[in-house]
Amino acid sequence: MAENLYHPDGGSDEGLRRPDVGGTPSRNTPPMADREIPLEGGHPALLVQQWLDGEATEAAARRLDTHDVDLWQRINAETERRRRMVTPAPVLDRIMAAIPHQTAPVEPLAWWKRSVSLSASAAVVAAAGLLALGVVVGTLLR
Amino acid sequence: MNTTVPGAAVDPSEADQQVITGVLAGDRDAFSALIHRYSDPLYRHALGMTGSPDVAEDILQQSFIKAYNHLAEVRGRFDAWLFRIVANGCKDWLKNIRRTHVSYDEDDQPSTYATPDEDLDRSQLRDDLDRALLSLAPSLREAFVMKHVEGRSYEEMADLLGTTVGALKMRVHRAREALQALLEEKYA
Repeated sequence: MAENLYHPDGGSDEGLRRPDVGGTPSRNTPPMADREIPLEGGHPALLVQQWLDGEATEAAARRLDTHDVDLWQRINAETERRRRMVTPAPVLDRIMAAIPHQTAPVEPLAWWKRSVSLSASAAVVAAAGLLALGVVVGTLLR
Repeated sequence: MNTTVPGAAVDPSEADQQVITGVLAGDRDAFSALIHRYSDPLYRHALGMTGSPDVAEDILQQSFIKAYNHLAEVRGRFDAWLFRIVANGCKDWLKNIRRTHVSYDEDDQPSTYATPDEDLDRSQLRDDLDRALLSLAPSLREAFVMKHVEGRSYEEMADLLGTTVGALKMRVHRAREALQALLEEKYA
């Protein structure tokens, strides 16, 4: 397979990776976005973050900063509107029409993974052959 | 043949697997069940990441075609596997696009709000939120979209993205900080 569908950061063009916030990280440092630097009392404040994560009440957050809570209520109203968006119906039809008409490729199994089926007579013949081979080898080794 | 008892709860993964088995056996049309089941959340993700309905539709279509062609390779949950295809499609698009950097300092659009107390125009907020989201680093945008637009829990996000809850919380917090810094100039 040419691409790695499981790659967590896209399947190709690793060299074109855009720098994360704060510039290009060195090879040994985690992405800036993941570094656990304590939040400063900036924007939004920790209590507002906790409210947005459902870990604090709106009243508690509002006591700290009314402006931040008001702004995030507006943003949340917009994100909730987007949460109700659905795929346009013609797009669904278009996708189905674009699906190849031949049967989905079935992954070829490696020979050692394939199941072996033998009839009773074939098994007897195979056993007899192996026994004869064993006798011949044993005779030659004497 | 469908042997499901009406009203009985069906494990979604099991239901997906039944469809996949049918598709791999030659029932191409059965794939439409998977398209209808998963297109909406994936469309919202692609739309949130790219900001463009046309691009989101293209990514969705390409992702489903890719999923169909690689259906035999599904291991584990189909929905998580499909999400990764769409998420990677969005990231690849973001890497390749030559996007004009949006700077709010350069925004010469006049504000339509005479006073801070005036009701904010919702369509204006939509546009501003879109532009603010597009200015975020892809990993921050992805985390914010999954949390706020798709309404996923941190645990679900960690499961889908293969990272930790702590790392995702940090990304969402940073995304909120950046968005607020961008938007409060205009809306505070």
